[in-house]
Amino acid sequence: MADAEVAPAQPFEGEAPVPPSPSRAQAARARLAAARRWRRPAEIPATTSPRLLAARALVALSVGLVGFLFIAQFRAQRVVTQTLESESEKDLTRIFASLNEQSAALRDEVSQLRLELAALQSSAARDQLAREAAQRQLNELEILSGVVPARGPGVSVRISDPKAAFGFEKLLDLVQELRDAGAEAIAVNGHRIGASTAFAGLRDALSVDGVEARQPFEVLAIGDPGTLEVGLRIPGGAVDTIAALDGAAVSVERRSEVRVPALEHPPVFKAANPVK
Amino acid sequence: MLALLSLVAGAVVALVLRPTVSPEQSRYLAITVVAALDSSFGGLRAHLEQTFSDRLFLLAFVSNAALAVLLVWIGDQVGADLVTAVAVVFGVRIFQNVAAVRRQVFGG
Repeated sequence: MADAEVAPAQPFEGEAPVPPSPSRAQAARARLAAARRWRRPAEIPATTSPRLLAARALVALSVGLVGFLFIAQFRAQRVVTQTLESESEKDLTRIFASLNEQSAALRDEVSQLRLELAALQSSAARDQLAREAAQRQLNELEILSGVVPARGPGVSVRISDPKAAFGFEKLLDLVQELRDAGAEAIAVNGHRIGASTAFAGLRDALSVDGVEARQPFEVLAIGDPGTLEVGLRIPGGAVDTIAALDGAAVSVERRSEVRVPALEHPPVFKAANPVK
Repeated sequence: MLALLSLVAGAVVALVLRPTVSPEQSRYLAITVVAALDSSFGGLRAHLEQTFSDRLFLLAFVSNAALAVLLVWIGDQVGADLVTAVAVVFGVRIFQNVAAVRRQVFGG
């Protein structure tokens, strides 16, 4: 085969065209190379441009690709035919039948799994809704029972009572008025008021759940600030009553955010059980 | 020639690498091979008729294979078996090219 084309780095230089005064050996080599190439020496290009080289390389590459693809496809096809050709007609029928069966079974499985998936998805959606509802209820109950701290808009009521005229029943009235006005969480001097909170009067102070609370008192309530303030300021209501006490002063302030702590001792139910 | 050498080299590479061809790919590969064979015989004919142009050869090589695959793909999409159609066209062309090559070589 043509040496020049096998090694394209130095394809034609030195071979053609025939030098002006060639030695006999050179001339013979040139003739030999030309004969090998099936071409007349005159046809051989004197110089080889990079473009021609690239084109030749591309042509060679594509022809090589033909060989590669041909053998790849040949082998792939032979694998299929070989495995099936070796079987007898009876076996082929059996294979065909079993393949049919398999595909039918798989189709059944697909439809069954689809049904299962749909059922699981709908039940998952239901569970999700139930979980969200339960979570909402839990949040509300936790706030209501006072076992978690709460925050939100509300009011701050400050009571100064240097002469200890503000009794626990007045505090109870104040809490009731706040609840009446829609307060959702209440704290007195940093003690959360829960469902079973008890108030008592000491000699010169008050006690909330057994903890001493001294003046000035600060009552924080979470709820709609406007409604709460209006409820407190009703003529003859809590503010009026407290302001009328000897030496006592009261101020109500709306707050965009009030923070109320959790109960220090959440109630433990021993006797009561829910009736369902 | 270089072309023949690279043909053998490609075949050897395929034999050594043992590429796996899935059944779906196999149909496309088959039509690509037929298209490439057609291009190769066309190139050989052009070479013998001294009208070989590498540019034309490469263009025909790529576009024939691409068109063949595209046709088969379209056939698959619309449910018509165009593999046979493409194979027949290329088969006829291969026969024509080989006949031309034979005339060139044996002067028929």
